[in-house]
Amino acid sequence: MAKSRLNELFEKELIIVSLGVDTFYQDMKKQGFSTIHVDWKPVAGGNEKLANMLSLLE
Amino acid sequence: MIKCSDISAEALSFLGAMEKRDFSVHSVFAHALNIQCGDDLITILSKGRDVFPLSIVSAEETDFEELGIRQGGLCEVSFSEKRITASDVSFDFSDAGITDCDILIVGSKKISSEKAKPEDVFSRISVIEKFVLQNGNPGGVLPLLCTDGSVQQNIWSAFLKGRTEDLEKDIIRVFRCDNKLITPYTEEIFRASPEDCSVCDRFVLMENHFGKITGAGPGLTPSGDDFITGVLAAVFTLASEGLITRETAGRIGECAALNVKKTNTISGSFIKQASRGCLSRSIIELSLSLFKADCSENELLSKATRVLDFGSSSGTDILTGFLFASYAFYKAYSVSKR
Amino acid sequence: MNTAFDFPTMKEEMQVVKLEIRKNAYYDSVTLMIISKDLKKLPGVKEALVGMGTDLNKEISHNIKLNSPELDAITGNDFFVAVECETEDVMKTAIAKVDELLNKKKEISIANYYPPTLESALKIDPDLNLALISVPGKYAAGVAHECLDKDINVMLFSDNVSLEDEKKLKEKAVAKGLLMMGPDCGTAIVNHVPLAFANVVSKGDIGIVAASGTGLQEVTCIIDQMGAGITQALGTGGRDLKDEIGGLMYNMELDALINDPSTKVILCIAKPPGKDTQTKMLKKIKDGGKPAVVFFIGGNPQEVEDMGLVGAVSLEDSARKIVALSRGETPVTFEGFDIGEEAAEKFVKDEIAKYAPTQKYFRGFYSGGTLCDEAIKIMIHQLGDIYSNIPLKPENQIENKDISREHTCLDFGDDEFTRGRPHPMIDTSIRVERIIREGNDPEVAIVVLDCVIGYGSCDDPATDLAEAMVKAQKIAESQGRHITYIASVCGTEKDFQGLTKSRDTLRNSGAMVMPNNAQAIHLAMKILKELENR
Repeated sequence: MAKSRLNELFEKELIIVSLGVDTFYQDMKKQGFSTIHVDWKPVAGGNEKLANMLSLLE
Repeated sequence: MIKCSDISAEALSFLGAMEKRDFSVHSVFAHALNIQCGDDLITILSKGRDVFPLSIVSAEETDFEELGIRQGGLCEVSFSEKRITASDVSFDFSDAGITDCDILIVGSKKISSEKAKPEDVFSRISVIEKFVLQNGNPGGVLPLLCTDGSVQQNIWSAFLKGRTEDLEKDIIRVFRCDNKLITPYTEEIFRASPEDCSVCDRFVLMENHFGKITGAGPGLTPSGDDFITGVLAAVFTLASEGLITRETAGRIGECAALNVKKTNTISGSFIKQASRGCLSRSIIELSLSLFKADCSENELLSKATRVLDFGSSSGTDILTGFLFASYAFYKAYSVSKR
Repeated sequence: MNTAFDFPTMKEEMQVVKLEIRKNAYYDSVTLMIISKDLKKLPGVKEALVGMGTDLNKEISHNIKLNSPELDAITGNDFFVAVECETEDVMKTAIAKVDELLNKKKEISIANYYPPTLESALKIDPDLNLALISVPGKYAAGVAHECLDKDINVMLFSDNVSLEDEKKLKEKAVAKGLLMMGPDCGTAIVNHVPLAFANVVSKGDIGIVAASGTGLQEVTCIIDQMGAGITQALGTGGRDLKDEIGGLMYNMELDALINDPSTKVILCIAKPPGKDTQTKMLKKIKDGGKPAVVFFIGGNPQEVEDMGLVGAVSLEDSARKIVALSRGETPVTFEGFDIGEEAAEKFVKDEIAKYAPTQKYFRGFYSGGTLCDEAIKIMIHQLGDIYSNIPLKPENQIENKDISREHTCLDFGDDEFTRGRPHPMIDTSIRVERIIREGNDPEVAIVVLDCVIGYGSCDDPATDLAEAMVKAQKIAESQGRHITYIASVCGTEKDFQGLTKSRDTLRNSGAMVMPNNAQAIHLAMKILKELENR
């Protein structure tokens, strides 16, 4: 039977990305694990200006 | 010997024209190495960094400072051996994949697919604007995008505000007089204010106005310079999509390029390349996705993010310039109600 | 005649403008931004201009009166820092700061620059294979989807994710063969990397799947203390075994351990699952063919034994049994004391002799939810009613979490305690305050505490708790009472706080330190039984 993806993961080096609070990242960095931290922020949405500018296209 | 995974087509042809020459190391950073080749800079970048014109990307994570490469040191380029050597460290680009960074070439090579409707393009620009206002670094020219005052002006943006407004007027006029931009009202505009169609004069003014922005701002690449790069990226995108002539784009680029002496070598190098339509891959990707028929908001924003990530405020400033020129196009296209 | 000199009384403002110039020097943009930000933060710095010496930047410096002939002389390829300070001393500090930042520039540009998105992180390292997500609950599912879409395994520490979202995420993950541990997954050890709240545990041949954070911490630590070790300790989040989710992640992880050549024996921890899910899960383990211990916290071990698997009565018992299995020994149920029955009984007698007649109740103040849960479930038969914010019986829901009632056992990690505050493992203050306050309560006889160390926990929880116990005991003694403090440390010697050091600290404050939560609870129960008979 082919090895599952999770079983393959068990044989790889874990390379971790932390998103959110950075304390976990600091802990892993201290231990020398390969890790990167993303200073995550939510993406904007909405479009008030669209309405304004679209009126110029008339 | 460090293998390189990518090289821009421009760098390849540039080096090809050089053959064996001795150059010098212009500057060294952790993730980038600049080599002075005559008037131009060739940059070697560490793995994973975005390809831009005149750059080569290493296949390994490289810390150029730690390699002991020093500013001013000698650097040897051998094109036939596809190798650059600086301080006994050799970079081998014989297996490097070639990436086009000229948007006009990339644009013409792409499989002609359906184009997005103008309203869709416009709404995407608006989405990007909101994204940049929310996530960008407000320390450069970003406040100029903000018409409702929600982002505070800083010293630099306050200085540049009037100057960018002058540039905008030039760009709108030049767009309006472009042969491609035919609207039912073009004739009316010509008749109404004949002097506005003295396009040659307008380009002289534009060169002057670019000069009043070049070199201003914080950062290794001053914010004003990044703003200009963004403006040029939008201009060449429009040309690549056939919305303005390549001639107009080229002349606008020239106006910017004539001012590069007003800034430092590294920043000037980016403006020079952009003035010919040569841009980093991530900017090209973003531009192309703007006009693609099928582009989700997630895809758009993930491409915008890649540009936003340049330097500390460079990405924000480039996107600000890009949006600025994009809106100028729509203003040129529209008719002001009397 | 007294001569007085008139000194000018008006204080003159000192404006000091100094320039730092580095000719032909290029610093990357992130460094320049940091310098500008940090200088402006210094007290006494009125303005700081950091940039390249281009004509326009020089013009700007003129506009804000930070110019000087030296600045006018530099070129666009030169770097400058112009600072306006209140005093010469501030200027010295500012210049020192610039030097510090420029010399440390490499560390800073790597250490302080976090990419803003997953995309940018992937640019830096395209081989990322596990995401530890702790963003606010509102966005957590979206971020988890993003990661799974990019073929990155997920550990979702965030909570406040809906059951629906959890199901969708796990279905996607299972279809792709990726981990989706959580939501509310606080502990895991994958490929020997302690993730979030986790301990440093020896390598060995025991594989663990747990639908519980502190439960996983407790068993991995006991396994390590017994000289054994683990291959993987995988989490699933607390709701995975509800019938709505059906054990999607639990089963995928079980399969992986069953097929993992390094894992010889498997330990499963969970709250009692939904009926269907339980049957499927037990069958899978049985069919897997590896010796296994299955512990449903508060569940009936008979149901497990009936399937031919090994059941357990506590986290400690499950850990002891899995170690026995890994050593090829026969697992034996353990509900006793490491110190032995005799010593335990002596302790009980000594303590009871010190109580005032009003003292009769037990109070448990826990940072680990599962340990609190285990305490309640072990004690409920003997005590009847245990008031809690996570009660076993709905009628035992405590009215006011800040006021104990009869036998009370509280989970300080639960939402109502942590709203707007860090988790009690990170910040001991709320528990500390409660311990001290409780010293005033004439009815409390026993206080049981857990002390969780390892990654995620604060630097020295033992000292904070020890000091609190000393203070509280003083209060009690001044009122003619004596409180029995029983504590256990969940950790290993390899944890940076130190297992022995933490135990000693607690012991020195007068607490009775037991090797783990189960023994702490059994000891408390022994005292309470004696009290009843008194």
